[in-house]
Amino acid sequence: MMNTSSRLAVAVLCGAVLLSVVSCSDPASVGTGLGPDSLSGGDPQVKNVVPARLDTARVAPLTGFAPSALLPGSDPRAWRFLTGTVSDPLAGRIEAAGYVDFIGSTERPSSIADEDPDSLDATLHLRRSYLHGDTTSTLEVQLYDLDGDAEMDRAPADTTFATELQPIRSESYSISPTDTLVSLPLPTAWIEEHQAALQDSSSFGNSSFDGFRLTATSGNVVVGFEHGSARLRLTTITDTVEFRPEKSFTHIERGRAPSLGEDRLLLQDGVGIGLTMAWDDGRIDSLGATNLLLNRAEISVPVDTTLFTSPGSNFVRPRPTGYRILATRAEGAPSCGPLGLFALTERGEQCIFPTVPEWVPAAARVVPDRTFPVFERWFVEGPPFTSFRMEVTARTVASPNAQETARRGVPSTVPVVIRTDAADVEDLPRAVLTVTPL
Amino acid sequence: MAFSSPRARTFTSALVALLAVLLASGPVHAQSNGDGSVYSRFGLGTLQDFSSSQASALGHGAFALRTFNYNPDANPALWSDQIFTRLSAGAFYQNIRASSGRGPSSRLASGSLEALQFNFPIYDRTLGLGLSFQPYTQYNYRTRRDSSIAVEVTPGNTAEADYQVNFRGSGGLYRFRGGLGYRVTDALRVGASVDVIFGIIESQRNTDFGQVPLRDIRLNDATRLAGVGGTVGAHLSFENVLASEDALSIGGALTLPTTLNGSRVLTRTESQSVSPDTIRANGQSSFDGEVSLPWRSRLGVAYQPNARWTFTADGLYEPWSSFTSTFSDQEPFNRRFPVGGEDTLTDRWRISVGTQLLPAGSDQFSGYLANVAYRLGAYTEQMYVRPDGRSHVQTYAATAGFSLPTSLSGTRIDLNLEAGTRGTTEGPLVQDNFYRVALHVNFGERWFQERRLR
Repeated sequence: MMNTSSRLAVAVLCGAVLLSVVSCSDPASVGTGLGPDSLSGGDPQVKNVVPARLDTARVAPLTGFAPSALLPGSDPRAWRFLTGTVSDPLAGRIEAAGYVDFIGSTERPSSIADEDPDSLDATLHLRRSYLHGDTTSTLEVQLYDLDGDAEMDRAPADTTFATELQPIRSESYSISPTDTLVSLPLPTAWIEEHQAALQDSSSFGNSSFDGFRLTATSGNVVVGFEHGSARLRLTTITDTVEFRPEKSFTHIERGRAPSLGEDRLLLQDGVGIGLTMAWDDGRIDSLGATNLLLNRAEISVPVDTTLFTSPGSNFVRPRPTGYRILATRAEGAPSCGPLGLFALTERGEQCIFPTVPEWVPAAARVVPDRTFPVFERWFVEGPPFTSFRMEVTARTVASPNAQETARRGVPSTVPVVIRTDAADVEDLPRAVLTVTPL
Repeated sequence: MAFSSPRARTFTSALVALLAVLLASGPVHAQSNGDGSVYSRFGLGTLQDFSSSQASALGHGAFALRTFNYNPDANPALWSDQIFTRLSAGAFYQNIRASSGRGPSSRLASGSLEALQFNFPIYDRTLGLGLSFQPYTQYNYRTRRDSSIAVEVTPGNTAEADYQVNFRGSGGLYRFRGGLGYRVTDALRVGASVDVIFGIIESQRNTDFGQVPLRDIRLNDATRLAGVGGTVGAHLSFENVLASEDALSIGGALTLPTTLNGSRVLTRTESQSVSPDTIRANGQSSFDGEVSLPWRSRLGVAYQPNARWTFTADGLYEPWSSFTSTFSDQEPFNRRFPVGGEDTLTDRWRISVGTQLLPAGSDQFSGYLANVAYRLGAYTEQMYVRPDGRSHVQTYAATAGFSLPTSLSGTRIDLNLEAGTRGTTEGPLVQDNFYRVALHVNFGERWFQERRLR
């Protein structure tokens, strides 16, 4: 016979085994309909809430760039500056003027430093990375010297910088839009004018050379050139010196846009025409007041993709490669960080929502995880934002991460059309709220 | 028999073992006691009626059975018979297969501490004190509904996202009882206790999306209740009634009506890791009310023709149709408390019979197996809930048990078994087929008494 301690140990073991098997339940739907207060509810519903107000507003994007503005890990080759003029049947007339300045600190070999200006060749080498317009037209551009140092870094697109009155060369440069590499030879007179800066690195900073402006004089196309690969190349028979770009900028203007009808709004990148949305009619507030529980919250701005088609076989209209959604904080609302959003450096009252790149170009769709805390707070404490803005932001990265989707885009002239009235609410800008009633 | 181990060491081991059992049952208790019958959703939960492990094996009756090895909780008058200081604890495991007759069936498992009892004699076989702590009701239903919702996954394309709505009840009421039993004459014993009833009854509704990127929602309707009541009991015993050396006992107890006061709170949680938010209505976050528990009567007869055999027959009655609740049906709650209102409650009654065989009888020097007590019982009960307001829910069950002696004459380890069926698949009702295994340790030792040289 077992002794007492052994029997107790067995008893305890049996008890522990009995209790440990408790987690073996496999419930089914048995009994859910039992009784007058049957087990019901808990089913989520999707509420599409269209903004009370939809309109466009112009906020000139930052099209200036300098290495100081370069974020770690970014490729400077991805930035670009634009030049040209295009009359897009959808967007109207768009004019772009590019600015670029170079660094002249490279040591000059003696064969260049001592060379006679007549024996020097100076050429502006550019690599095209963007095209919008008629590929059969020839783009005529004029080069101008900038008059004074230009603060291009983070300059908005409506900025202008002073230039010399006369172009560097009286005859314009002809650029074929389909050429990838473009070389613009500079005249001897220009070399002589800037001889000191070109031949002596120590005097470059104090020289009168402050960069170029490329202005289109004719053509129906806007082209973009890579910032990082642009070179001002000085050559002799035996040697070559390359000046790397220091900063660049694009000034963009738009003429009168054609009418799209009352049920559509035109957004224009580069010019900075974005979509403003406001849910200030209390409909979202009332959802919170009725004790709906939030499962998921999204902001979706569908784009009219039927207008992506180019008007002709020779006319190239770039498709959107990215969107950005910003929101203006309400008075007393928390700052962007606690809401899980990025802060816009130049406009502190605005927060940026990261967007889902997979939805581009069909829609601007905010990452749901970032929208959820906003609407969760909205349900309880009222709206943390007074208005939202959706803008087109051109990306050069195919699959940007969340942080990258919140950054400013590279300069472009991409137009986008948003529907403001449609039979199907899913074609309209809206807040998509998945809620569960109490 | 070789019951000669040092008592002190054994008793210490027993206490350690008891603590281990209680600690093991702690996490289970924290996990809402597992999953039980969907009928526990109605009323205040499934009523727990533990008196002693012996009584459980005899069909949950034995209200009149005198014993030195147990201190039955159902009738305080029986506490007068004590000669040992006694500490008893037990836990159970229960498995239910529930079916509505339509669709798949549920398999639900639960386990919990069944009772913790401490009793000791103030005067041997004359005046005894009893204390107990045990579940009074268990609110532990669990069921679910599967569904799906269309989610736009890419522009213009939707996909069905599966989700589950899980309904779960947890918690329940607990009862702390303390009282005295007194032997008035050799034939008459009386007893009384104070019963403190308290606990939280929680109904949860969880919408769970699994891997789908939607936030899970948990809605929790919690009602906290507390109140004080009392129980009085009496016991009559007669010897040499039908034969010499036989014993006939009649015992009964009446638990007085009790009012429980409490408050009800609705909270929501929108993910597992976030603390719940209290849902307010009309500026209020909690809503006060009270419920009235009806009186409960127990009456039993026990007959022992000799030291080997024991027979019991018992009845229980509670007029739950007189139950009232002032917790009104108001915002923000989307259902009444108790569920379905007072119309879903009806009078409860139970009839049980049981028999015990102790082959050794009064011969303590028989073999070990002869000193094991073998018990059988059966009962039928009309539950106090009728979810559809019309159909009574009946339970039929058989019970059995083995009581194993130990080296301590007052200490036994009991293993109880129970199997039965509850309800029906007719109409909207559900049929539960269940079995239950319980393990109890009853330690008895003379404390506070000087040993005498015999």
